Amino acid sequence: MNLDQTEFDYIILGTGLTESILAAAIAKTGKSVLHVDDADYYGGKWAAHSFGDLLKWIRTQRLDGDIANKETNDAPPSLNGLSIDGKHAVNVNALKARNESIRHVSFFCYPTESDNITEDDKSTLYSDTNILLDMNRESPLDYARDTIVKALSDRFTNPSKITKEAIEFEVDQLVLGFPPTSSFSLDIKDSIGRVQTLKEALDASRHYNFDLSPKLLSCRGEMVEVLIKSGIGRYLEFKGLEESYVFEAESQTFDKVPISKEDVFSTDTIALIDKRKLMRFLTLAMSDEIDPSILETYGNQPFKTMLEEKFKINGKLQMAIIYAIALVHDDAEKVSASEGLEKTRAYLKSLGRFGRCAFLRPLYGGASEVAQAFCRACAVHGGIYMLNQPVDKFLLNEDRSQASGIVTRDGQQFTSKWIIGSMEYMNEEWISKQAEEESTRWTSRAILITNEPPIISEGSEKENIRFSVFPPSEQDDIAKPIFALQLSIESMSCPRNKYMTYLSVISDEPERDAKSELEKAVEKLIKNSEHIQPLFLLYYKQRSQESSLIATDSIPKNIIACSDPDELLDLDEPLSEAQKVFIRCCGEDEEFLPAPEVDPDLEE
Amino acid sequence: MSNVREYLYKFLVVGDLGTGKTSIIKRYVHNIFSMHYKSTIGVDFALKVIQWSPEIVVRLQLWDIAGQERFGNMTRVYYKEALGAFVVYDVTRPQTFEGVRKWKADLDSKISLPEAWGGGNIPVVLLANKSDLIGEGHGQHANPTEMDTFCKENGFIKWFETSAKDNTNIDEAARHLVTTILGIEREHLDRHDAENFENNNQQLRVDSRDKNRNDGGCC
Repeated sequence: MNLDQTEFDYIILGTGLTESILAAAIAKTGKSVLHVDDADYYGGKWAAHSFGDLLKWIRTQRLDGDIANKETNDAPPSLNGLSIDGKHAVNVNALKARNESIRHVSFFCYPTESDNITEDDKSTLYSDTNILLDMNRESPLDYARDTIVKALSDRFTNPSKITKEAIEFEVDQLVLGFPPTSSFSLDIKDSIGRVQTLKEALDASRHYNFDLSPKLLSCRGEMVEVLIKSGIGRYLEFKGLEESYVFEAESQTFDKVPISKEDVFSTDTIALIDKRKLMRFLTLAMSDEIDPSILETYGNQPFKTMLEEKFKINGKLQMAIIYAIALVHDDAEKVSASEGLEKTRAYLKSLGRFGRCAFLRPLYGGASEVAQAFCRACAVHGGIYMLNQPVDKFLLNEDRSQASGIVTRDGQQFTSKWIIGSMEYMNEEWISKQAEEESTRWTSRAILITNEPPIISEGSEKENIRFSVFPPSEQDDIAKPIFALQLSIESMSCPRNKYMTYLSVISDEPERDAKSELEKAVEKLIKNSEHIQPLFLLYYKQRSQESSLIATDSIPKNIIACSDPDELLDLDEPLSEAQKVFIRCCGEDEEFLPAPEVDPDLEE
Repeated sequence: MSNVREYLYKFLVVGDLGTGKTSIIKRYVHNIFSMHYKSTIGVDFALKVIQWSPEIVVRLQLWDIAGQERFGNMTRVYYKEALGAFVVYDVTRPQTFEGVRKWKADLDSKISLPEAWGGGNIPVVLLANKSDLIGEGHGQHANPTEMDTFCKENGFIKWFETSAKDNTNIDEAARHLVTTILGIEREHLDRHDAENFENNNQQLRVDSRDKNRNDGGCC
């Protein structure tokens, strides 16, 4: 893939949300933009994957140690500083950095039986499922893999390409835990079931959108305003988040959280006396002028204290307000009353703009869809896109204070006045070790696929988009609030009659595996109804680095870093970062994403 | 209100660089042709409104790949809700014909018809463009038998030899694609209505205009 044009005003590395917003904003000013990503998909760390691509992603993560080593061998650090045409060359290794940002990946597939298999098929499938593996030989794992692949393939009559893919994946997962030597008998009954589960999902691969950094748009957030004003919003469709729940440890049930005045009056999960307290609190939070004496007394005290002392709100109602309305992500003790009121107010203000929800979910893949809308806007304004194009080096001037361009893996050089890139494109030496601790956070995440919606209340549509929070609970060994977002075909997240639930929790312990931090909540979801059959479950831990990690005295002046996706639900933080970067590299006078001059609907 | 039905269809125009995609769109929509065409900045698609019959108006959106997405890295924004496509190659450059299969495979892997219309592949027409240059001794006419077989094997509904310069066969190709889609829509009309009736879970748009605007299908 060779490009004739080699000089640009801006080169943007990575197609994550922040970089994509910038690509569109810059292209709209009439400047030339080259937008590059080393992956063959849009979105970087914000990407959403089909089922087939998710399996590939899992394989990559499983092999990440190997890949990281190989990459390092390909481009040893000593090459840092090598000169090309008189310029200093500094390494980029986005793939390695991207892989290092994910830890503790574990994937579970549950055995099922295809609906359309006959009794005859069944007897072939499940006849004598024990196979003997004698590992005392050379290359025991290859032998085990080949033997099991054959044993499984023989059971499926004329296995399709997809069945073969399912078998390969299953067997690769299976042999991971095998002992190197010894002989043992293996029952492959569950493997046969898992191959069927995998095959069904692979057949519907494109209908799955696994969002690695699941996000929502706040109905009154800045992102919605920018999408409307710039016209880029017309590329997107959304579903409203219709219901919120809070998990109640005492009764072990999911209770619906009233979010509007009508809700408060009609709900039967709240006692009348609590309704009055709640209304009193909500009215205060919404009022334009909050009685200064309240802020004076409680402003700097914990939010919790104000709820208890001022409004006599305790127990599950307090939990619902703190975690499901104010959406406090961390320890409630750390949130002050004024901050809590501000968050409550933001939530209440977002209600009623688009139906009765406070948040919108972009159809298909969340933030990666929003990023792609900005990329399309950049492309129609002349931006050039090159995906699947690994970047190898930055070219710097003598004293390394300015970058002049990049070199791609296949040796093409592109020059530009500015280079903007996501964190994984930054050279390791630019990262400040001191800032590393405070600017790096970890989030443990899980994605659960089931055949029935785990969170649902009587009388509501199965397909509705729901949000639930598991407040901290000693009883359930939950230290920080766990958020769960349940999606369906309505948000184009998965095929019909399947349900996709995202769980996340902030993690203070990078070394602790994601599973141990989330499995309690996952268990409660699966056990919430006896009809729930889990199909897939993925755990991983995701690192989030802020661009403030970059030491300003070591990075060239015209290279700007963009932060990773954060642990927050909405998209206002990346937008605000993009606006700051835009001012820095385009100047105060340029308008950020102005309204379009031509209305495509009117052009004939 | 009269009984006029209005349909909004999104068509994609794909093909290798320099095969004349933009010229075809310009000729079809604006009836102009220029050898030195510069891409229109800031416009997603060209719109052609067709009085199909006394009762039917078709609003046709033609989405160019904007040249910029020249390496085939199109966003979902480009593909989604498309109901038909043209794959264009240049008869004077055989290597652009090699790209045809790749483009067709790309379309098939990224878009399908709505669930209510059976969810199959969208209809795709193959255009052998720049036929005017054959007369000037460049390239040669496509062999109809071979092309028919190729279309059948690769799932194209039909092929046309076109020239944006001479305005040859472009209307015909578009008409064929519209006819096909109107046919598919009519075939699934009853089911489609039933589905719409059940499916009152409306999707939201963040738009300053009317939120309940009906997108696609008939109004």
